[in-house]
Amino acid sequence: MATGASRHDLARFGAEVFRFSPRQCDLMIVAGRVVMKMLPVLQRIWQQMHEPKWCISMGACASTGGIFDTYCVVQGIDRFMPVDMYVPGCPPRPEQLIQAIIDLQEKIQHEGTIAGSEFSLSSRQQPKRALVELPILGQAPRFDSSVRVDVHSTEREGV
Amino acid sequence: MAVSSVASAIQAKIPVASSDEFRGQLRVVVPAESLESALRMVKDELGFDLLVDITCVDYLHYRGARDRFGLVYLLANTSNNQRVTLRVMLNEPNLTVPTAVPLWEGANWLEREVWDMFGIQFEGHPDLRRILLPDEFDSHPLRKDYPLQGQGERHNFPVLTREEA
Repeated sequence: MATGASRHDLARFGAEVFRFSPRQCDLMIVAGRVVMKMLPVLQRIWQQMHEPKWCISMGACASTGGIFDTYCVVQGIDRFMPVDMYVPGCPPRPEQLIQAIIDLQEKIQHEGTIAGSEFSLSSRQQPKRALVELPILGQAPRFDSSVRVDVHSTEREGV
Repeated sequence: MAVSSVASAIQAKIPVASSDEFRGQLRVVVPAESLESALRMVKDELGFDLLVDITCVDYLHYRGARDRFGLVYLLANTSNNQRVTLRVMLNEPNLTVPTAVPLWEGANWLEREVWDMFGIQFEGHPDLRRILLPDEFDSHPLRKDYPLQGQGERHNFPVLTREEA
C-alpha cells in the first residue's frame, strides 16, 4: 500500500495502475501467507490472468512460509506456481518492492516470452544486477564500487 | 447471587464431578451423560443466557491428566455479569456429546469448529461439517498427536508451470 502511495510512489517507475481483477492484470504480487485452503483460489487467479504475465512473491511468508511452518500454510508459493521475482523481508520495505519491480522490468527487457524457453539457455543466464548504491550527500559510499562484479550496471555508473 | 450459591444450586440438581472457584469465577466439571441437563438447567434456572464460547483442550501428555479431552463451555449471565465454565471430560472411544444448538443458536458454528479441530461429535447437530479446514481434510489438527507440519495434506495440489498456464 505504501509503495503505491505518494511517499514512495510506484508510478515514478512506470507501474502505476492497480487493478483488482486478474483479467486486467499482467503482474500478480502475492503478499503474505498463502493458506492451503486458499491455494486453489490463488492458482485460479493466476490462470485467469492474460499472457504475458508475471508473478512477484513478496515477503518471507509468500516465498517460504516464513515462521508459519505448520500444516495449513503453503511453504512457498513457488512449490505450486511460477514465480519471477522474490522479495525478501518481513515485511519488505517499499523500496524493496520497487526494486523488485524495476528488476522485473529489466528481466522483461532481456528475456521473457510466453513460454520462457530461453530461460534455460546458458547464454541468457546473466548475473543479476547488484543494487546500485545511491550517493548520499556528505557520506562516503559504504561499499567499494571497484569490486562490483555485475555486467549490466556499467552504463549506470555515475548516476 | 454469589459464586458459591451458583455452585450449590448446580450441585443440587446435577451430579457434579468437581467444582472450584478461581478469582471469583466458577469452574464446574460435569460428567458427559449429564451435560445436556446441566446446560439446560444453568440456562433456564440460573440465567446464564449467553454462550460465550465452546472450545476444547487436548490433555494428551499433560502432567497429571487422566482424561484425554476437556470440552469447555463458557457461559455468561448478562443480567448480573456472572460467568461460569462448564467442562466435560471425554475419552477416546466415546467422543460424542449432545449438541447445544437447541439451547443457543450460536452453538452451531462453535460446535462445528470443535468438530473440525478436535473431532468431537455433536449428536443432533443440524449441520456438522468442517468450518475452517477444507472438506476433503480427514484429520483433526489441534489434537496433540497430530504433527505440527501436517501429514502431507498441503502437498497434493497440482503444480502450475509456465508452459501450461
